[in-house]
Order: sequence, then structure tokens, then C-alpha cells
Amino acid sequence: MKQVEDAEILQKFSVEKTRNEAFNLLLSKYQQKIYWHIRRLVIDHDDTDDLVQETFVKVWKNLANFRSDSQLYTWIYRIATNESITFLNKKKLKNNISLDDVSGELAESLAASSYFDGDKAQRKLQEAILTLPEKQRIIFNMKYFDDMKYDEISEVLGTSVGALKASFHIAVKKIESILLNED
Amino acid sequence: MKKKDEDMEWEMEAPHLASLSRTTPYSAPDKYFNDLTTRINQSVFVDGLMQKENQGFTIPQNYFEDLSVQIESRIVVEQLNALIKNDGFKTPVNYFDKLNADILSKTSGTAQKAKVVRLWQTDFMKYASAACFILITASGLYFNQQNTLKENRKVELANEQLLYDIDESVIIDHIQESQAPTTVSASDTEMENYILNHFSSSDLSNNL
Repeated sequence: MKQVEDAEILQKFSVEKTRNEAFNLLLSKYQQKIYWHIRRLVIDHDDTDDLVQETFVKVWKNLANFRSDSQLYTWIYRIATNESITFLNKKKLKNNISLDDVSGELAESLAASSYFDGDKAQRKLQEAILTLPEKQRIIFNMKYFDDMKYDEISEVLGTSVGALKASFHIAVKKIESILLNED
Repeated sequence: MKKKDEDMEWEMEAPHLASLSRTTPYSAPDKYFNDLTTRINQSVFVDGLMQKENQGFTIPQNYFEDLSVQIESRIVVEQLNALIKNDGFKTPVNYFDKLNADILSKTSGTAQKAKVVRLWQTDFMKYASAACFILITASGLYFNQQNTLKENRKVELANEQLLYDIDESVIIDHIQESQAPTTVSASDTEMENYILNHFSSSDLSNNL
């Protein structure tokens, strides 16, 4: 299926008659990417499902106000990332636990998940990623799995490219160390 | 080019990591993405409805900003109330248990039971009441009769007075007129008709 250009989506969305059509095109183009992005952060499928819907509801409500000073794709990513961070923070407050303990909970969720298809090495990798601080984990996922450029990650997180590079490199070293030690 | 350089940098630093497959090892339920678009559209629709519902209601300005402070204050007040069990005043031990009995004992001496006196306590009273009743009734009847006689007498006196006022000659003329037989002159024919109309044949035969 030919991917529709973002400009066309935005143009169709601006016309009331074609708004629904434009939104469906947007969903077709981005829903899976956003799903996996959120899934890598929160691990659990059901939590991911809720957050995906909340993300796109916000996209619908705010797309009319979208200024093309960033890419549509990074703008949607930003919404999804913020929703995921909010969710994880609520989880911390609800259980009255620290960030490290949230990672522990996510690791337990990973271990118990029936929706894990990876091999032993990939499980180790996921467990290692969960040891990273929250923001570092987001940066690592976007760079490693989504193969996004630092500029794009900077648009999503509002962090400078230099800080992103530094954070990613630290994450890579940490994970490599964990993987090598476990081997 | 820039991206390739970026990748090469960290791949050289972490060869083991670089060698791993960069696929997300999670899976989604079967056919999950087939109806995800529909479900997202439904969520958008429901959210739109909820927004419309809230438009009918208003809340005071800065309500939610102050709400948390108000809730915390109330919690503190309730905690204080729980700590302070009374307001500093004390009562003697078992005071309220005895209070009821004390009040009853104080009020039982002053309050006198109302004396109930029966109206017909003795036979004398009964007979006296009956005699009074009869006397009153009889007196009433007697005086009523006397009153009627007086009225009649008054009327007679009034008539006598009237007679005194009328001239003698008028009275005599009236009496004479009333005593004088009344003669009606009628023709023979009229008389015959009268007899035939007023008397039957048997009456006539009996009288002849």
C-alpha cells in the first residue's frame, strides 16, 4: 500500500468533508509504529493498547492546531512518548515505588508476558534495556529499534542532539557490559 | 552519510550489541491491528461525546487548583477531631447513668395527682339532681301556661275595649240584621229548577 504523504494528510484533515478520511490515512501510516514505540516502554500489551488509543485521540483533537515546524511523525511520537511517561509516573505514584522498582515491575511483566517472541539473547537485551533510566531507555529504543536520527529524536524529546548522543552512548556501553557479563 | 557515521560510532563501541537482531521481540494478539483503526475511531467518538457532556456544567474558577488543598485541610481537621475526643470538659463518673433517676426523683414529690371527684358519689346527690330536674321542668311548663292565659285574656280585654268604643246603635243594627231571616225572592221556574237540581226523586217522594 502506497504511503500517503504527510502534507496530503494534513491538507485533507483541514477540510471537514475529508477529515475522517485523512485521519484513517494517518492511522494506517502510523498506528503500528506508535504501538511498538509505546510497547517497548511499557512492555504490557493491554497497557500499550490503552495508551495507543489515548495518543491518537489527542492527535485527532490537536491535529488542526499542528504547526508544520516539526514533522508530523515526530509530533505524534512526542505525544506517544509523553503519554507513556505519564503512565509510568502514575504507576510509580500508585504503587508508591521508585523508578528503579518500576523497572523491576516491568522486568517481571516481561518475564510473565505471553507475548514475547524473542530468543534468549533478545530477552537478555530487553532485561538490560530495562535497567536504564527512563529517558535513556526512550532514547536508546528510538535510536536502536526505530533507527531515528538524532535530529528527529531531538524534536520528540526536546533535548539537544549533543545530550542525546551522550545519553545513547552511555546506554550502549551499559548494555554491552551487561550482555558481556552475562555471557 | 551522517546517519551511517552515527551508527558506525556506537557499533564499534558495542559489537556484541550491534550483532543482535534489531527487531522488537514482542508480539501482539492475533489480528490486533486489523481492527485497531476502528477502535481508535470509536475512542475518538466517545471522547467527543464526553467533551459535549461536560460543556453543560461549569465549575467555580480555580476549582481544581484549590481542590487538593481543601481536601488536605479537611483530612487534617478530621485527624484533629479524632485526636481531640472531647472539648476539655469533664463530668463525674457515671453521671449520665444517674441523671435520669435524679430527675425522676425530684419531679415525683412536687407533682400532685389531680383529685378525681365523682359527681354522683352518694344516693342523696342522685335524688337531689333528679328532684331539681323535675322542679325546673314543671316550673317551666307552669309559667308557660300562665303566659298563654295571660295572652288570651289580653286579647279578650282588647276586644271588649273595642266594643266599648263602638256606638250602641251600630251594634243593635248589626244584631238585628244577623237575626232577620233572609228572604230570597225567586220565580216558580227558578224554584222548580232548584229543587230538581238539588233533590233526588226518592227524596221528594219521601217528603211528600
